[in-house]
Amino acid sequence: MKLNTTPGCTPEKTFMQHRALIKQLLGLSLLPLATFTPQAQCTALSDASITPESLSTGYNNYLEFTDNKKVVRHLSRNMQLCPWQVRISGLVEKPVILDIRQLASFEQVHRTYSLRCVEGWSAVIPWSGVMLKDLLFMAKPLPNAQYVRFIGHYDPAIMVGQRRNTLDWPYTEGLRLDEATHPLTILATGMYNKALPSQNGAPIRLVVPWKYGYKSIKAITEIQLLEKQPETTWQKFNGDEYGFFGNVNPDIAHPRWSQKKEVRLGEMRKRKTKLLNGYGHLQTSLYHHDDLLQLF
Amino acid sequence: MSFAAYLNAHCALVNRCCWLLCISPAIYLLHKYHSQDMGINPFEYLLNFTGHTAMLIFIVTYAIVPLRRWILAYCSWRKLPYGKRLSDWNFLLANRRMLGLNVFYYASLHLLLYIDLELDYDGLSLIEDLPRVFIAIAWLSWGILLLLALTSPKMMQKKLKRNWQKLHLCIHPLALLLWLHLYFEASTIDIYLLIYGGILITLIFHRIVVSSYPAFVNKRDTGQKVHR
Repeated sequence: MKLNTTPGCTPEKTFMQHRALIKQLLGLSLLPLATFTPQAQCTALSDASITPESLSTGYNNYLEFTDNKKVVRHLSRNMQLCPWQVRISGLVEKPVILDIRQLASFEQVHRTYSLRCVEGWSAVIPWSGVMLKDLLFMAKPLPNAQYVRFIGHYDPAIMVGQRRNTLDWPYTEGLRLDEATHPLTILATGMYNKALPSQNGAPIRLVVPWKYGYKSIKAITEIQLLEKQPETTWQKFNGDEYGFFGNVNPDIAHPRWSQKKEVRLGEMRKRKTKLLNGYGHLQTSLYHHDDLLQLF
Repeated sequence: MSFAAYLNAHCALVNRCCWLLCISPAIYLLHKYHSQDMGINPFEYLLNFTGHTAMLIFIVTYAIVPLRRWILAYCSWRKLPYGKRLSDWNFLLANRRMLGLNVFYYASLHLLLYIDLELDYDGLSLIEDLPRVFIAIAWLSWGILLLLALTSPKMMQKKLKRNWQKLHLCIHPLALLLWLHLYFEASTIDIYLLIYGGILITLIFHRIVVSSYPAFVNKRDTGQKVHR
């Protein structure tokens, strides 16, 4: 089976087949599928290249705390994770305030994605959580909703980095609605089969595997549906360097460095970066009308 | 102050000790490399470590001339028995050549790591990278360092005569270039940028003041060793 994907990442096909396979199993198909469950295939693909947990939890870009990636782990210890609510509002039929514990009632997904930071490093992380589209469809977006805005937690008492005006707090990110409802886009609540650590964005963070890491906002408190493209935190800071789309593209250089290569955490030598972080087929499904080059 | 007198009488010893201090970061790095203990992002660690070491040794080198002036002024003000004469602090000057060469060594290591790990010996990547401001500044700075290192032997000093002094004035733009390299590389203003900037501005400011106000010019202080 040839898969168009980065080694170590759950290919889209695999989980799209998930339900089909289960249906076939339930339908007492004659095929010996028991030895070929998507879960088994997923781990076989990814085990070798998964970044060790101690690296992914010890090297965090989380400017709400500090710009020192190794110190975030210590500063984020005091995060109050419970109670935690996520509000879905804006252009929706049914605004919701969701308690984090209610997420357990949604379909749980396990995905191994490579997280590619715009700075040129990456980590392969096994995430667990829910698909963002499940949450959005529960709130029923209105027909004129085109964009989704995410707002991160604001609490300078604990998030000490927010006491300085390094960025325009709270952290704000955005996606086009079709990107947000794509089945690859998830809200992670766990990683490495454990609860999400504070330094990685607990209790709930976004993961969009084909975009640079800055799009994957941490500690989300609000999700708003909008008609117009929202301005994001990094766009306000420097729109030329950190655009709204932030699609991984080795051919578009960051003004200060090349994006052709990336270094996996724990490794010394760089490896080649793939178009849309290995999800190149999205170019036809999501961006076929637009020039991908302009979608930085 | 007898300690300073002792050091001044043993310039060679001071020089050896400084040399040991200068090579110790390289030994430490070699140990880290061999034990594969370079943290979560070894690529970043190697480049940062060599870059910061070069910067630190440069700052020490660049600080020696003003430092000797400040210590001298302090000793005269307090009317201390030792240290009021320029020649009392000769041992500080004795290290400058060795320190400067070490800046060149660490900067070259930094550059080699960049060529190996970032460019992977690819000429095309090298050309693509050149227009980036901090990369262009880095090549220019290394060129200056190379020129200064090549002309550092006493033989060259004798050969170039007065031009040697003129050539080595390049250290002043170099100080600025090294800081700009860091500035254009960084995403946000970080603490290193502020610390290095503060120190370098003080050192440059001292030189501007000294050279533009005749009252401050000490004609005997040419930056060279003084014989009693």
